[in-house]
Amino acid sequence: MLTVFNFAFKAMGSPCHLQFYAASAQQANGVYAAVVARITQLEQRYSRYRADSLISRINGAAGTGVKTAIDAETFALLQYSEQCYQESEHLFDVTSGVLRGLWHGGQTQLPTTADIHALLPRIGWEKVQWSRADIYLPLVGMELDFGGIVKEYAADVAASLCQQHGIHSGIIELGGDVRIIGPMPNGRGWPVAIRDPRHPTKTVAQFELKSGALASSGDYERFQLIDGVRYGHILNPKTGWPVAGLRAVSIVADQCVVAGSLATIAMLKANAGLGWLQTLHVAFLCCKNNGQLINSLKMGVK
Amino acid sequence: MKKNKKHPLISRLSLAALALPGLMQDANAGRVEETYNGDFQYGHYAEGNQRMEVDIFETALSAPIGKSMTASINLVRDVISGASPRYNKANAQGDVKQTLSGASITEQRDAISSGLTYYFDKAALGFGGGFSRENDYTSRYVSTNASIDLNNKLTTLNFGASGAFDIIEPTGREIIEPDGTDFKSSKLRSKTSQQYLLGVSQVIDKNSLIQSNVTFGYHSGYLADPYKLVYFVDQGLNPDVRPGEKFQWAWLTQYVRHFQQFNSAALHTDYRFYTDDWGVNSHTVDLSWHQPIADGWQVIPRFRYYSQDKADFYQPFFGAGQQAQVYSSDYRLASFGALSGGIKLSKEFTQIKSLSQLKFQAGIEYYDHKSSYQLGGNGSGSFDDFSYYLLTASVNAKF
Repeated sequence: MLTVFNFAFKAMGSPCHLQFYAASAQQANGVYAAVVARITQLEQRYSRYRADSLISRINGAAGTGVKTAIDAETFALLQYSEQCYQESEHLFDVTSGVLRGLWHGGQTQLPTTADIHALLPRIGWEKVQWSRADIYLPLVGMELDFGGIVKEYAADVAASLCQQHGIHSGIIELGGDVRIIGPMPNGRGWPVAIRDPRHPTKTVAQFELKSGALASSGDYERFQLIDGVRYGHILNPKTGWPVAGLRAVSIVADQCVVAGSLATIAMLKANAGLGWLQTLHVAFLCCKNNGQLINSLKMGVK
Repeated sequence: MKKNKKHPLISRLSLAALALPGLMQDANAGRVEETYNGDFQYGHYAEGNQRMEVDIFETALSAPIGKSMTASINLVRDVISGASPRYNKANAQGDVKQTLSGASITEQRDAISSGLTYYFDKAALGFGGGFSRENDYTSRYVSTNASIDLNNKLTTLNFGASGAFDIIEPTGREIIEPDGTDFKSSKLRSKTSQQYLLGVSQVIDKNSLIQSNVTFGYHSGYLADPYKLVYFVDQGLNPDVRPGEKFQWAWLTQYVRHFQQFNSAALHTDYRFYTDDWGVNSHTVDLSWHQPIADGWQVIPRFRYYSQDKADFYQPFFGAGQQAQVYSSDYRLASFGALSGGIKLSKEFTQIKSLSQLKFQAGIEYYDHKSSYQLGGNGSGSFDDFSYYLLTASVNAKF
């Protein structure tokens, strides 16, 4: 008889939940341990907060003339980053993380135009030299940041790991991004909800998801109020300023990583983001800056 | 609302995402079975007009050996009874009539085969062998195959080779014809076969897969059927005589497409072209739709069309003045077409006690062989038209 098991844990700086049906507690614990081990491994490799991570080593070698060797997984992430860059008119740029130095939390003043202009030359995916074997950031101070990709990718990897362990019914959530392992044993989807960007304890949409993933991007908790204006954490690599136009975007797609990138690109496109989403025929929920909700979820969600 | 086709941008992003390790599970066929696997199948085959009936019992077991090896063993028992076509003769009106073998016979065929596959990181290597025995026929074979994954496992190359050695020892039974002609011969005969395969399978995207392979075969030795006869108007009955060797080529292409929007249904379409130097060319089209319903139920309707040209030395019978070095009236070498259709229903239980999967399947297939179904419709005559149905039931367990 299948029993439902719930695990809550913290990874990648976010609260995470894993819920699935398994035959025994022993099996469930084994699956949970495998999932946590894999996510921890991804975090160790790609977290920019860890000095010993691969990302920190790549960033530390920027401008020194020393290339950093990479493995197949990192190469695939770089290829994926390249694809996002091309599909977003160069708005989705994994080198734009340096801007966070100016828009860190807790500041009370806007950065100066001079500060921003001083940083912009260090941004630009097209400057990065990378191959299947290694990567090199040619300018001192350049940074690579897979922050907008790895958490969603980890959800996909975790779901597929569960499937490999014989779990066919379950759901994993990593900091608000959701990937379905398989529908509930009765064949129905799992209930998922999208939080209100302004009132994180409330939800703005609720539906059942049978397969695929749901990922969101927006100014949820990570923003600063400066002179009464709310500045989000999604930064335009061309202007150096936080984007404005959409408050939050949620996307349903087959893979969590794709849903997450589409949501981020829509945010980066600011006022053009909504129109862009509509041409893609994806299932999305978009919250405009004035609070208006545009919901296409009924279209693609069962 | 109508669901629109995926936007090319989403397809491109998905394709890039699928190159990430660990994201292929939907389209990937899945390699090493880290489970014990047991299959038991029963089939009942029955030809129309009280011809041949066969009961088929099959057991297949596979087990992992360590992390990277799988061993398998397969046992089959066929119990065959009934009559089969023997020769054709024209009556006074010139109509061709088929004569079946006389008394109903019961025969048994037992076969055993086993294999070992070793999985490397990006390749697999397998070896196998088998033995089958019935009272007048013994067959032994060995085979090897290799597959190599390329391009992040999106492309797989397959190679295979096999060789078989068969011994035919016709029993005296039924060799004497009603008209007194005696073809009794228990002379030992043999044939050897070898076959080579070269194939490629390519994952196109998360939802589709195409595979194509070419096989080449060479057979030599006694390739005739000792129980078939050929009627010559001038000389009466003669034993079936065929060339001592045969070269054959076949090309199979299969396309599989998943439809997420139809509850992850899948369409399988196969096309096979076959040709040999006996003059037989054939085309096979096979379509099946794998539809998951709910709660582990799945239904698979299937349709197949087959058409072949006759062998150069085939004739229903040989008329006055006709002479030949090699000749056969075996209906399997005639021009004909066949339509078959069937449906399978399965129910899968997951996670029951120590079993990780238990699957029951039942199916029925109806096959209709008609000379007029041949492409172009120039069949060899309706006298050997027949049909059969096949019932199957199986249970599969994974531990």
